[in-house]
Amino acid sequence: MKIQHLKAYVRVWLKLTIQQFQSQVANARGAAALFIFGKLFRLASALFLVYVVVGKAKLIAGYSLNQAIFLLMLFNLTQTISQLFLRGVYLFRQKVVDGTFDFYLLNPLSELFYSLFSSTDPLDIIVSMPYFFLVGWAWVNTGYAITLPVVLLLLVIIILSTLMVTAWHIVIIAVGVRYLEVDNTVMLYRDLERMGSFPVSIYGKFGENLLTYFFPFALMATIPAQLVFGLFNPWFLLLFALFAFIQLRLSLWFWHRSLLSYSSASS
Amino acid sequence: MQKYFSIFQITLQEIFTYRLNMIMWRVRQVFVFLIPFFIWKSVLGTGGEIYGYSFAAVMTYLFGTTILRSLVMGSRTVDLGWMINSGYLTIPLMRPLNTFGLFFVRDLADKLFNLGFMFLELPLIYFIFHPPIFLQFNPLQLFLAFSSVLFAILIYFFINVIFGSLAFWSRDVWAPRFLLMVIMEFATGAMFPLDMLPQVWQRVLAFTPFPYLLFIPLKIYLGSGASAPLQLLGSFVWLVILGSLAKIIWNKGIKSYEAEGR
Amino acid sequence: MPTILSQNLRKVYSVQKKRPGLSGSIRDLISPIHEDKVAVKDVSFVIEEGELVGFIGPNGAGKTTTLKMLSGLLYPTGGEVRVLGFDPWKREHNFLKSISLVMGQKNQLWWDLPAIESFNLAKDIYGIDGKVYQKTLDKLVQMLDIGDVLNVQVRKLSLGQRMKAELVAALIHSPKILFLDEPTIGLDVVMQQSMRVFLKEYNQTNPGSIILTSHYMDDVKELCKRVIIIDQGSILYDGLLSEVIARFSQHKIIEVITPSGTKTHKVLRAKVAEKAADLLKDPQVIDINIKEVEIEDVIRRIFAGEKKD
Repeated sequence: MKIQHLKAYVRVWLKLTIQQFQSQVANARGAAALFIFGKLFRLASALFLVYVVVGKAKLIAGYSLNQAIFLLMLFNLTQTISQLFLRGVYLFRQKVVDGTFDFYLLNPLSELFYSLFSSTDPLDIIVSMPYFFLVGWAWVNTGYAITLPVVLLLLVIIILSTLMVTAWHIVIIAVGVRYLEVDNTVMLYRDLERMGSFPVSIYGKFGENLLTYFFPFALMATIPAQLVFGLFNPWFLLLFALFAFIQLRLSLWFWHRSLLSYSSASS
Repeated sequence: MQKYFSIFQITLQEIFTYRLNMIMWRVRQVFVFLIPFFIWKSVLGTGGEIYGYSFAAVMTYLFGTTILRSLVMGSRTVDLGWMINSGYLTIPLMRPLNTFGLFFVRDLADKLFNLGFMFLELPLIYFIFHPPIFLQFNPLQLFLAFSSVLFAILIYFFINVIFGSLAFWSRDVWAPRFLLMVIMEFATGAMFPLDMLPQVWQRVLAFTPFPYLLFIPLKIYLGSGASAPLQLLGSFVWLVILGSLAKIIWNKGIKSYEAEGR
Repeated sequence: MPTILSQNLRKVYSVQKKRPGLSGSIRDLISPIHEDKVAVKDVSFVIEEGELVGFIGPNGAGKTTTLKMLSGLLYPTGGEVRVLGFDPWKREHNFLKSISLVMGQKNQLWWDLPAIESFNLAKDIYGIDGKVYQKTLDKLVQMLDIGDVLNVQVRKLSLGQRMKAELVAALIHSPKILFLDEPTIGLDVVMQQSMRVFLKEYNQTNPGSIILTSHYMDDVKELCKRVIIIDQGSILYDGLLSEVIARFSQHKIIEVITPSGTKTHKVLRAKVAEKAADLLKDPQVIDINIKEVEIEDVIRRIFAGEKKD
């Protein structure tokens, strides 16, 4: 991809995001507040569950309450960041059915770019800011030192997990092109993703391996937490980088294959 | 009556048309059981109790909510907001039908569909997770539990009508819906038994309709918790309140319906 | 190099057949029946630069499917297409920058925002230079006379205004090929007419080709010199519109005007002179007109299956 194309993508993404914002303002002014409140409530109730379960039991899979909370906060952050960019999936079915996807295809920019990254909600960017502080707060509570190398490694992990999450989203919309149905597939994905908010070792050996090597869910919270606790050798990240690369390539291959059977909304 | 039966059938066919969505929906129902199962297993699997719940008791509770969820939360009325905004509501409005009746029949079809699939899934969940099953034989308790499920179904229906009707005034129905979902996940007792909460919280929740959707019907069936007739009364009061509210809001909203088409 | 080259183009859809009733739905779940539906059987043609060609045919003839293969939306089951030297399916950047598709029933404008926002977005998507953009926009807005609604939310526009705005969005990057799928569908007569006037003017003042599908004969009659008639996935006719009648209709119409009214006779081409002379013998006749059969009639008859009448 040439540099000037990259610039066009960034400009168009910014414009789409701003338009999304304008569109929201035009339609529902109170909705934003409800969304923010809903998201905070969801985080609070997840925190509460951890508190109810681990607070009484003292330990979950060898992790203390503070460590489990740190893990949850990490999950919340990585999930929010990936969701921030991948909102388009939720509207994908609609776009295919009403023919907007045809226009995506006929656009000089990649159809995947629109299908995944359009309709980023600028509010999410604002909401995600405090999440960084929550992670920091939970980190301090665990008693482990915050050092620059570890923070940088965490950023690498977030990028890797976001790439793997993107690959999975490409697979989901590829299924959507074929069957014109994605809604529950996305929701199933989200259900599975939620498994990552607890230490993956609670899901048994098989579950743990599945969530670590097949899905990116361990990478979203358990692995970065282990890294902070000194339980994860950072060199393994090279292996995950390879995974991310392979998954992306496979998902793109699958995407192009399913476009062959695209039949376009009839008119 | 015949026409409602036809709608019932058509709705079922409609569900079957979106095969992938339907299958994924059912797979999700099994997965909903998965996360709490492992969480509780990791802390209670080796014995002991938390808030008076042993591992077996929590499993029975979760198994119960899984069944109740399919019955109570199965709904087509969640589309109402979309129907209003897209102008699609015009079609049922033009038909010689009771609109509420139409929606409710569609809900029932959805529930029947869920029930049908539960017969396949429950044995599966049972054989994988071995939750201890509690069978209630006391006819009075059974009757009370049955009534309370029926009320729960109606309460959920009216909640959906109320939230869907918001679309008459606002184009964004997704935000309130999202908030409702998030709150319900917690406040109905779907995540964990509500009596694990501190007393104060339990009392606050008792003043919302949400525990009456899952937690209370299940508790009545299990025969544990507070006095069943009293809770049934609370459930009935909520039914009346939400039912009247739904009627009022709907009647107001329908007057401002613009039948906007795209 | 021809602008568009299509050779033995073919598209087969695999559609799932539904069994009737609820029990059918359940059986479909277990063993679905798939059926091949041939949308385009075998279509070959060449379009040169600057042409304005009309695809005509009844609903389901394969017009839109052909158009979608030409624009790269659909993957052809067989045959070959070259558009501006590109394989459309690959959807290369430079190919996509040189084409545009307008569909009568679809909109690419942002529904909740004023149309001008969508145009500004297109400027970035296509990487149009600021000055060029402004000039093109001004020209299109003036030609289509929609200057006063540019800042109105798209969903508040009338269908006609929206179609005009769609055209601006589609032409803002000055494509070399414009595909129009039923551009006048649903519009009122006045609006249809003003769309035609615009398209004609645009085609004359700008380089590049326009390919149009429509089932309104008026669109085709006013705009296209050349037509391609498609039915059931095959080309029935490819040539000048003016020759369609001569080719498919062996009759002419003779109108006979008498004081009591007008009578029409349908006469074989070879017998026209003879019949006219015959009719003129009647002293009651004031005048006679010899006309071609209406093109609508001819085409309707073609589609009804009478290849020649």
